[in-house]
Amino acid sequence: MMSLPEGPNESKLQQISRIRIDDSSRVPVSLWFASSVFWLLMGSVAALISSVKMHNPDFLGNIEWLTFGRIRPVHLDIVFFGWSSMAAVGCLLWLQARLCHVRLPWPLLLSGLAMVWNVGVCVGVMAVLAGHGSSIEYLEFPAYCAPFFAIPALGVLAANVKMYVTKESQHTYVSQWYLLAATVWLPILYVTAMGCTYFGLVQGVSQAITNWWFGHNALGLWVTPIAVATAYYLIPKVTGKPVHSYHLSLLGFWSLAIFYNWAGTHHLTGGPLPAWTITVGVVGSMMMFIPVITVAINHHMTMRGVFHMLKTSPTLRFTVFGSVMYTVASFQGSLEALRSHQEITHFTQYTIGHAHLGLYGFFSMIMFGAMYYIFPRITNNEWSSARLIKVHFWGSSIGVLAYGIGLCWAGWWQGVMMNDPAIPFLDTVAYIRPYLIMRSVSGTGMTIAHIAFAISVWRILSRHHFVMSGPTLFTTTRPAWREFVNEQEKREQAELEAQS
Amino acid sequence: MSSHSDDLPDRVLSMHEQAVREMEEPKDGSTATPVAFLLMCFFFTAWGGYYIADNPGNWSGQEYNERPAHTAFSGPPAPTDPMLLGKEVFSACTQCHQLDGKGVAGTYPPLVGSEYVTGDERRLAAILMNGINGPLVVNGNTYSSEMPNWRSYFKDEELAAVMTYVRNTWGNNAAPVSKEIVAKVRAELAANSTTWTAETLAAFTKGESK
Repeated sequence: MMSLPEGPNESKLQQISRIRIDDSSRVPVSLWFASSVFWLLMGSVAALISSVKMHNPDFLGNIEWLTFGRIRPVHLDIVFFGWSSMAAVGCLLWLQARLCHVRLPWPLLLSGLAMVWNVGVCVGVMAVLAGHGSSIEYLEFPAYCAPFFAIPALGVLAANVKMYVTKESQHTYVSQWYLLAATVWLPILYVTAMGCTYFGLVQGVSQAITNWWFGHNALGLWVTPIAVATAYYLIPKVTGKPVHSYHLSLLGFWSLAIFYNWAGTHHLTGGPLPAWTITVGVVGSMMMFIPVITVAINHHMTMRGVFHMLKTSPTLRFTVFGSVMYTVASFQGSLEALRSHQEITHFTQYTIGHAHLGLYGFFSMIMFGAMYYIFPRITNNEWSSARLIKVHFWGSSIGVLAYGIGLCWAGWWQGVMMNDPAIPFLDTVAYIRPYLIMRSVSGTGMTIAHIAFAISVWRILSRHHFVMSGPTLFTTTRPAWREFVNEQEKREQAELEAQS
Repeated sequence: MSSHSDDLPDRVLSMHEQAVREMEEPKDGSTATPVAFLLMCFFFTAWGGYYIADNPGNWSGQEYNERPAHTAFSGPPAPTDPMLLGKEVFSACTQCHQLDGKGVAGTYPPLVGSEYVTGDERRLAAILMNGINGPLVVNGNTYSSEMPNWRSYFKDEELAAVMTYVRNTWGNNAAPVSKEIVAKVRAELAANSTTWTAETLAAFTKGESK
């Protein structure tokens, strides 16, 4: 078995302090993570129903609650509020405690906030399915769901700030900037967006601008910084190498903070907005090349010389895949904002392909990597099966690549055809249908991956302590989980008999 | 007792293999920023400035075109094709005269082959201005329905276009109508908006030809 490099000799005191920190985050982080995995499964179901409806519109067509106009926003909101945000909160709480060298404060309160958040997602999903949703993308949940997200977001912010001001580490690591900034930005974004769209602080076109200011920043200033922070932590942590350049990290963080906020209006190109607002959005999007390239250089150069570790470490393989997809999806997104590009791709499947390369290929893959790292530490347990992790990795990676590349290709030509007045609209539909079927197939692959992951998570949480030795790597061969449990039970039985 | 507390750390650590086996906390490297990267930052900043200057939409809340100045230089707008505009306006007529211009037998007169359509353009304009009440003989059949006036619904250019359209479609072939003629008829009838009958219309048409 090829093993990971051994850690340097830390003092036992340092190691025990780390154990105490991980122990403090056990309940809240497990709860945020387990909830997010539950919503990942629900989101996959909603995704598959929506996807099949795109090529077979009669599928479940007579069930009012599952019509496309409801199930598609349900997919979006479950994935954003349920999966992405809950995974991100779990990650940031654990990371910040580790990096500040302090125990996670208020574990009971933070666990309670996870439940409040879960109630919010449940209520919102039922409301949208029952037809009470709005047409404001990313904010389809009715206004009465807002406190369920705003209050926990403030609680997470308070915990994050408390950890930072009481920190016992000397140095502020790059991940900590991103984590602090993300928790500050989320409440500002959410409260402002709800106020402007639902509570009438602004009217008309300004509501649409606020909508996309939120929709784009929710991805760019909330989940993106957390995933980038996680990759900045995990890549050097697993490989044992320092991050390539502190200066580039600094430049990358501040350029993200300055430029991302402007980019949202590119979603409204061609709409009835003053032209300058879109111009500014296009420039903001293109300037995102700068922070993205800093992260790309830093992560790539940190990985240089240790790429062979991708063969063994699940955490590293998921995280590096996500980091590479960050570069790819961000380059694509910047170019996609240009007016000349949007003339072809706006309102086609291209945009959907891009969204999944970003939120899934980049963000979700890094969250998977993080969970593969964090769960063994907070549960003091090992992953039950390397085979399940392999199914997860290949299902997710092949699935999202087929999805993203296929839909971007098809969406581009769909746009070219729709721009040609000589081609009847129905011809474009006939052209894209095979690709829509392919989307359902790759979505099924991703769903199988999620089920494998959920089984792993269920096992690591449900059985308190397997007597296993060593990490579960891709190359690890252990008896299958059921055999292992049987063996363990036999051993316990034998011990009991020996005692009596 | 003392030996018991001495090996406590080891016993704790042995139960937490996951936390012990990992590498130390990450550190920052201090490699300098590559010059090529800084040049690239300058390039993007310069491009951003250029793009904003090139597409400012006058910095106005009322301007939806990112380059309004460029359109001003492109000369007068291209003339509208009266057949296309006419076809658009004709959608107001299809309920009675039908898409094929054949009308409804016994109720609404046809436009195809009708002397009223392909004949005197001034008379046709007058019908659109004031409307007309039956009985009216078209292509040998008598129709006694009522046509409303359209003078307040369409501009001269639009009425001229729809007249040109019906005079040159479905096999009709007559000279196009200019918007000046429509304007002239509109002026003549400014004080007279009484719906025509076949007799008053004939009198109006004759009055001009004198």
